[in-house]
Amino acid sequence: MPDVGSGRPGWLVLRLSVLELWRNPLGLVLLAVIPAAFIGMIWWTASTEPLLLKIFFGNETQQILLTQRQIGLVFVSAAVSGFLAAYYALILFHKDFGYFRFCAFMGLSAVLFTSARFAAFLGITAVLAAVTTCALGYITTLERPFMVFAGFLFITVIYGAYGGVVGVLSRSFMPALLWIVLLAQLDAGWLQNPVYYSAAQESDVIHWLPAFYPCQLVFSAAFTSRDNAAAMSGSLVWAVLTVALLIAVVQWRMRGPLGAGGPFD
Amino acid sequence: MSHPPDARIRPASAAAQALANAEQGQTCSPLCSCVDLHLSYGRHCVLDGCDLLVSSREVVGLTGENGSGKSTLVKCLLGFLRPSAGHVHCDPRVGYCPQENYLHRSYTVAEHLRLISSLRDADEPVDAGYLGHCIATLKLDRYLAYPIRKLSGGTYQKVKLLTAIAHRPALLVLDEPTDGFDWTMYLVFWDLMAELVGRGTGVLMISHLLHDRERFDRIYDLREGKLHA
Repeated sequence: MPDVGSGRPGWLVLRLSVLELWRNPLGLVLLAVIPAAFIGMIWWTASTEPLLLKIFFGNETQQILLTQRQIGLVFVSAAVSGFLAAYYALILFHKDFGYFRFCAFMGLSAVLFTSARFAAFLGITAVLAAVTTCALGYITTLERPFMVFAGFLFITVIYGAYGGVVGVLSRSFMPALLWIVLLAQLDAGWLQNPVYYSAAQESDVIHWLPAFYPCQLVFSAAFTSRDNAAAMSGSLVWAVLTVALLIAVVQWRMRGPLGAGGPFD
Repeated sequence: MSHPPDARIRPASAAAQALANAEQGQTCSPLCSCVDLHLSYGRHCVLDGCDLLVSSREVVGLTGENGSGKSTLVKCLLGFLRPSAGHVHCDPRVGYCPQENYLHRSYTVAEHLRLISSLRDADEPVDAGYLGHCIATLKLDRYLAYPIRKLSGGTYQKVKLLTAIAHRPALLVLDEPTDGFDWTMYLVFWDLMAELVGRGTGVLMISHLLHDRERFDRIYDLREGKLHA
């Protein structure tokens, strides 16, 4: 008898989720190409002229002098890691979702599916945050690398959860991809970045965008010795909210209304 | 199959009576039934008072033109759609082979079977011997390590069928299950059905084109929202 083996469904979904990411050649190429292209572009093109950067510690602010290249590198790293996390979440929560609806019909618990999928998602966000921190640490000196990692981890979790939500709700892959590229680049890459947008540090609206608190956490950890409790708690709130939203839409989609073509579309 | 020839054809409205009889223990236990089922999409009435019954050891066909509402009826029976009115009963130990190509393209056949086998482990564990027998009968042995995206249409259909029968369900609902099968595999399919029915499974098979009508205990034809036997 051919051995197809057996196992606990939670572990199997987790293992298969990791294999899915590993077997996605485009995902592996993007993992190398996108950071290299974007960070490399900033490295080669950004000026080394100094610029005063305002870091927000709650109601207090501190101004520090950084080169435009340093500022650009942090924001572009945030945008790149946010986009990649959202892209991988899109793979985990959009592609072949009908298959898991069928598994749910066969008895797979929606909670177990979400937990296993989410564990794979957290794994990839941790890897992305670590890669981004290492790349940034190689290029520029980081005051407290572990807190920089925490900042990037928040960015990847927040944007990853956002990508997952877009993926679950979208019927087509390409529009979903455009949504995540647009928000990640618009928020972290441009609106937060004073090198490209002079109003970045003056508008209160920008403080409400998802990348604001994690970027403040990265800057305060990378270039100051002060703890930034406001940025940490703000990031935590964003992460909890976006992850809760992701879990809610996944649960709804697993048990919710049917697709136009059939129950497992 | 289990009924004499004269019992094969009976009016669809008799399904309600058959259900009542079954509930009184006069026939095989009903696995799936609906009585006076209605479903409308807005003003468009899709199902207009359908009665259907599938009992243990029965092979029941459901046919109808494209767009007649066969799949909608099945979705109501399986609980994917809530009917506007009527009563539905369906055994939870159901195996379903849908028409859609839902299998995960990144997984191999073995990985898919491993995951499917792990589900319902507590109440309906997969019999490894039976699964191996089905894999061999469907000639899927050499495809176990294949990624599903590389399977041909017929082999893909075999994996879908195997998925539906792996747990040896009490009720088997098959939507166009023989699409893409060659003649030999078509006969193998009926052998597998005979094995399952012999062990008590009830089969509901949906197709817009049913051959071999003598293989069925009963055939329902869905026309203008009503079932005709």
